[in-house]
Amino acid sequence: MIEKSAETHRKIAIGGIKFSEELVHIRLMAQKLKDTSFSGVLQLIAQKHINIPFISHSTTSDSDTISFCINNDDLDQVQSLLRAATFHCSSIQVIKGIGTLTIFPHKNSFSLLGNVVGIFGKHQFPLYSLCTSISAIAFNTDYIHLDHVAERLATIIELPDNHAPFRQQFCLKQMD
Amino acid sequence: METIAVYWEEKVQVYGITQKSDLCLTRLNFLQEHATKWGFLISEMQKSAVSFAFVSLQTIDTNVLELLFVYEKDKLNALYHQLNEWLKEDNSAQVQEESNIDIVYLHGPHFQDRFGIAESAFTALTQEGEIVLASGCAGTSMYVIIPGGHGEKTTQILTDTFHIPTSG
Repeated sequence: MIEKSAETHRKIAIGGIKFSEELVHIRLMAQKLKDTSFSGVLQLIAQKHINIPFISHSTTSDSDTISFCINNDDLDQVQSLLRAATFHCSSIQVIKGIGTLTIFPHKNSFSLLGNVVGIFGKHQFPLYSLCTSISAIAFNTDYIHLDHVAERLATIIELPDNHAPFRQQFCLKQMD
Repeated sequence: METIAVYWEEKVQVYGITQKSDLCLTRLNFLQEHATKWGFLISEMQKSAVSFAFVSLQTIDTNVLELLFVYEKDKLNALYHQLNEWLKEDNSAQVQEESNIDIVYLHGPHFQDRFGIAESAFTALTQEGEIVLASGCAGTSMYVIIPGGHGEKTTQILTDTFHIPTSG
């Protein structure tokens, strides 16, 4: 990770930040779902042609947790699907009004990861989930906080000159 | 101005599938209110020349964060020792190690904008009886973390599920 000197501390140089549109965050937990349940959830949602732009899933010896995001418009359908599903969840948490803040590139750096998690903690921004891709880290927080998070991140990271707007100028949607 | 593009493929295309072995998985649970402290400690791992292959995080209970990170097995002893030292300062935090895991990852065009991509992968893995310890999809990437020794079979299943172009 390239680090540049700043007046009071060293900033981490990154390529950029982008925001998602407003999304809904859903977390399913169970005291050990059957092995088929994770793919079962995905099957139910895919059958309705609903996109899932973010997934984080983890299994331990006694519990399963799945967090994923969907578009606002798909919430009613997904809630109906989950209510009708045959598997049993001990907890279904739905958080509306979240947004994904993506930082790239991560360069596999614990320094960048830890500093960003620290910013969320220091300023008490909720952190619902995160996941790395090949080159980026996606953080899910409240949509209304995205600009505030970016402002605080500016204290530890350095963006290139002429950075593109954080918010995308258009969105893509797959049609049937 | 509305712009309509048409993209069609008979079988979902991916830009190659990568498998890595000799990795370990750490699950670190800590309170969200301790994120400032743990954020600093996580950043300190960089000093041990450790870099991650994959990271994910979820809330697993009210106010409890579960951070997963995958890294090279030869860094396990140093990192495990370091984490246990830090745990002495935070009784509410927990760490769990899985010392032999494989990771398989892939990416493809506009995966974050298209339905059914993850479902294709995980249905195929489930049908073949593969146990997925963790997984994550963000941007155009999909990561699958499986027990050590299962990387080749997982790669084969995903290779059969998706189309990998043989030339640019």
